[in-house]
Amino acid sequence: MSIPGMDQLSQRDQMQVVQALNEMQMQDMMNMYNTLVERCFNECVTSFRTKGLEGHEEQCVTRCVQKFMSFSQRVSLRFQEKQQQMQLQKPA
Amino acid sequence: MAALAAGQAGLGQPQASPADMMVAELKGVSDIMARMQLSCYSKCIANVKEEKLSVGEMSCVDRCVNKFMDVHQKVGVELQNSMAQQPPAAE
Repeated sequence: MSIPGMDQLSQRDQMQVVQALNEMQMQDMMNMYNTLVERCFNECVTSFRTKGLEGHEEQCVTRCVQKFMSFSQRVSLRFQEKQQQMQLQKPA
Repeated sequence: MAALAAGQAGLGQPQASPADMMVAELKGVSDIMARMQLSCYSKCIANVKEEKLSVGEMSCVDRCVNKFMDVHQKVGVELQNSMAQQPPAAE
């Protein structure tokens, strides 16, 4: 894994960081899942004429998830680029 | 981000371990990411009628991330300035 400054830590500290990182990733994943459910539910389910999801609602949810994934990828990519750029600008 | 955290660790508390510092920073980054996604999604994505991001949405997202990070940096600077001007009242 490539966390900047990681190699300067002791073995024990590195393990601690990695463990925390794993927990955070799990947490982030659950958070993202739940936010996405909320978002796509609000966007796609607007009527309660039937008990189950209607065809168009189901398609909407598929689009919603797809769209969020491309959105999310784009945000991380641009975020990384921006961070690198800001690191370079920072006077040492 | 790191500088701010380092500044706070110096305020009388026992020195945080390097691992704690790094974890705190990672948490900060992941928090920022989550918040940025919330903000930029609601500002840039109007609906999901189309599965793919439109050209307009893409450039909106690019600008949104850029501006969000600019604000992040600016707020950090402003905070440090105002904290330097009036240090918290010592108790």
